[in-house]
Amino acid sequence: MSTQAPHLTAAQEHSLRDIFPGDSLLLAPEQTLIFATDAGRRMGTPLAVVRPRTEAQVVELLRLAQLEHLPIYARGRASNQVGACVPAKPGIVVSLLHMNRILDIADDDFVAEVEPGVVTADLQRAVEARGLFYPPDPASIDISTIGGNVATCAGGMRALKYGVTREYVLGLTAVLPGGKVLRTGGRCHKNVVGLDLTRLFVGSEGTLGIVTRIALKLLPLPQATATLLAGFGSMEAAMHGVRRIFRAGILPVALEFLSPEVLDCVARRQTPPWPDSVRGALLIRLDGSRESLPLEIRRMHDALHTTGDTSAGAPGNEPPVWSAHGVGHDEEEPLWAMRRGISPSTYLVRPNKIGEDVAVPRGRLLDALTGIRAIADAHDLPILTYGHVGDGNIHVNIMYDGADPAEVTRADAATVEVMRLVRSMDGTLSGEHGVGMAKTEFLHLQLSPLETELMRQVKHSFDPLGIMNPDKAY
Amino acid sequence: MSTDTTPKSTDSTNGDTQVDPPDQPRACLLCGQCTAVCPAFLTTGQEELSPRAKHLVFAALRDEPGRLGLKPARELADRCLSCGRCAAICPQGLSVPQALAALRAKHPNWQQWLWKQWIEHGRLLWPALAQMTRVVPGAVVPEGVQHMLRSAAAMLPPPPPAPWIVADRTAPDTLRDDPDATQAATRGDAARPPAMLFAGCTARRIRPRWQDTARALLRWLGHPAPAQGNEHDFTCCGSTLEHAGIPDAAATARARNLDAWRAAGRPLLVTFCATCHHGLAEYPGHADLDWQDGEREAWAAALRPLSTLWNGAVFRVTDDAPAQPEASAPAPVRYHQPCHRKGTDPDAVWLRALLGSRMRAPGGVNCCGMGGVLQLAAPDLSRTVADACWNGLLPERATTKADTTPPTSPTPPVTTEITVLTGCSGCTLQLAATAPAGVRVFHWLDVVGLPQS
Ligand SMILES: Cc1cc2nc3c(=O)[nH]c(=O)nc-3n(C[C@H](O)[C@H](O)[C@H](O)COP(=O)(O)OP(=O)(O)OC[C@H]3O[C@@H](n4cnc5c(N)ncnc54)[C@H](O)[C@@H]3O)c2cc1C
Ligand code: SF4
Ligand code: SF4
Repeated sequence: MSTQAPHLTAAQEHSLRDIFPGDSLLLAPEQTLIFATDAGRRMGTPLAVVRPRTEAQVVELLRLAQLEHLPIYARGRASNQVGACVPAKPGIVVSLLHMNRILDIADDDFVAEVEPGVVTADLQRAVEARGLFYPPDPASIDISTIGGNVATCAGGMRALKYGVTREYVLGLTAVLPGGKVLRTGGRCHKNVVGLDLTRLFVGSEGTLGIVTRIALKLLPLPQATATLLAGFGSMEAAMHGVRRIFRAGILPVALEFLSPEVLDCVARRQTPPWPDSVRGALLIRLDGSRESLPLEIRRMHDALHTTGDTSAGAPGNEPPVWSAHGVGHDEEEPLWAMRRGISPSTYLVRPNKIGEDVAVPRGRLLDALTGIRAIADAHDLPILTYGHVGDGNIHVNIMYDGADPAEVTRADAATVEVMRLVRSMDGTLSGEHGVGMAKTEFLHLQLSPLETELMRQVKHSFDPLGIMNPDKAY
Repeated sequence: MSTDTTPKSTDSTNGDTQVDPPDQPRACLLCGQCTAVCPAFLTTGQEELSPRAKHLVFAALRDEPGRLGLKPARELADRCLSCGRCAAICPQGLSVPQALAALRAKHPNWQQWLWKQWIEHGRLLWPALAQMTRVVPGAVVPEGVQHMLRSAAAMLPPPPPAPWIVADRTAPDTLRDDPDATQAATRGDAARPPAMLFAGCTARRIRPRWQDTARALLRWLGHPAPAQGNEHDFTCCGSTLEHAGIPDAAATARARNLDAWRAAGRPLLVTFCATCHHGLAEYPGHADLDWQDGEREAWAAALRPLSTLWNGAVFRVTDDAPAQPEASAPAPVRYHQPCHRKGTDPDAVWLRALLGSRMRAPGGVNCCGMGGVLQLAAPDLSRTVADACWNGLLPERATTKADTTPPTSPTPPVTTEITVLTGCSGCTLQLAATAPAGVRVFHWLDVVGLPQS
């Protein structure tokens, strides 16, 4: 073990102090401790934490960092679960929470311009007060920032109808290593001039530069929403339900799946509204005008109950055995609160979990779920599956007891098998949580050597010394 | 992939209710849910003040002694308002105030001692502090003490406003909706069940008016005082002492309160302060109390906020309600929801029904900044939190950018006098101490009157 903990030189510290006065520079280990980690629970080494308020400070910082070869870690609310903002190599953490102004909401342009530290739910409330709509809604909406959402291309429940963060980023300003300021894209809803550098930053996990300003596309706020919880007799029946909804030409806002294991889990925490015969459920949200919504609910109901389509006679092609619905926020909320309660209740099954968020082409969903169940049986571990099934995005929670070495080994083996299964279906290792540090070891399953090489070259043109969030993401 | 770990518990299937031994606390998942509600973090944007940062510091102090300096770690952790919001949202049930209490209990110092003095000798000290504000010139007092003095100044009761919410008539015909009353009725006595008032330190020592009005309301509602027992036997609810790191004093206080309730024959236990109520509601979880069989449940059922006892009684807003200067329109009323009011706030429900659109309450996290020991440990943070709270209560004053203000919310004239009502003793004092000019702060009991008989 090294006796000399990594630290900044006196000159580096001095330079930082010049740029970041008062408590916008943290050096004490008690204060910097939390900046070593994020919701993925890996630990790194913050040499210092800085809190810029202006773009000029970020420019100065990245000039210094380039000169001194200091690794730089942009940080929003640190809600990512993959170690994406952990200072794995000792370096400087840049907390963007003091750059949190909503700069402009333009009703006629349908554009909002924000600083990166704005909390997503705050932006949504601000635009909705004006009849506008910013759809991306990760479950972490109250605890994540727009900057973080952009850098991870956050998805959410509404992605099925409205798409993910990528679809809403029109332009941005980013400060690059060395202090150059890149302004790319703009406020136009369409723009095909040149390579799309704006979207290159979307999902880049802080590896190219620090985003300091973002222009986002807005939509008109839908008038009304309604939610339906449909309970089926089996997982297969629920999956047939998904197919019938799309076949009927309905595009719900959200379409979430709850496996039988997850339903049991919820039932351990609260008395569930559904009867025991429910062994798989779909949670479906629709939106539209007040007049059209009742019609849409009717269509949805018919689609779920009319099993005489092309897959008639297929095993499990059965209508729901139970359902409940709510119209408007107050009636819908209990249904969604139940959905949000899933993640914490998973720990009632086993004290530890490995959480994956794989995605497969929509048509392969049932195959993927059946395959995952087989892996669970083979390894004798509970694997809980739920999630944004409308997008083919499944949360796979492999539950185990960390105190039991045999279970740990089996959980690791099951993880690899899930990854291989998903890849065999042309699926992706991550639908929304990203790679960070957590999935780098599996990247070869998905990215070809040519892709990896091109990605590294792209990074090199932005960040020749590799100081931006080094060794992460790709 | 995220690898989340909960700590080992003897029965992992019972994670909801299990109380872990203090030296094996549940682990923080670093999930960040608590960052959505912590006023210390939200008002400063300083992540090192977030609950999860504090739990990480506690874990480091526990598991890696010597890694962090004890004094700076404590100074950082001390920057907490004891609002309890983190504990309410945390999937692991982790509470910063509880962890801090344990830390403070192990390392007592003068701040906690002083706070103890303040609570225990409140009768003497508060009026003395209030008196001092009149004689000590602000300039020579250190900032921390100055803030205390400002709070102390707020402790002098303001001239009482003429009551403008007047109890009009009880509703005997709806008595039967009240399970307690139904019980009483089946026992053959028509009256409401006996009730005992838990007024709390602040009311008892410096706002006796609240206590008097609350007692009068209980009588008016038909709740007799219990035949035996004495309200004066109640003492501090204990939660402030607990959080200040004086667990022995807190335990003694709890035991005395339980005894007083028992001695009175376990009547309804009525509160009008959200913080006292919260403190008392936690009693069943305290193993140090000598609970008898079924008594925890009886305590929980007996504990009632005053405003849940109306049971159909009718209140009226009178002509004495504050009006806009030179206009007949009523002046705006704002409601401050106390942090310790978890879930639905019955005071807010009642007042909203009574005052309609005239009363507004800001959404989101609004903490008054009182924060118990924090007043002594970090007056700057208390002030920052209070400022943010006022921006929420008075959006017309907040520094909003013109381009992001919704066009639908017209800015009311700043000349209007605004009344702020709340349902917590501590919030009332703190808000009164920090209120901008033109704003009057009251516990709602200050503005409630009984019919002249
Ligand atoms: C309970 C919970 C639920 C979640 N639900 C979802 C979900 O439904 N959908 C989903 O997609 N994700 C979800 N997540 C993951 C996480 O919330 C998202 O990845 C989110 O976008 C991260 O935002 P953040 O502000 O916390 O960013 P951080 O975690 O702080 O950072 C994430 C990455 O962005 C980079 N970054 C941050 N700001 C900037 C900037 N200004 N410039 C350049 N790079 C930057 C960081 O370096 C890092 O690589 C969830 C997480 C939790 C804890
Ligand atoms: S909510 Fe609880 S578990 Fe989650 S980060 Fe906060 S303290 Fe930790
Ligand atoms: S008690 Fe309140 S101020 Fe203290 S850490 Fe918890 S949420 Fe923050």
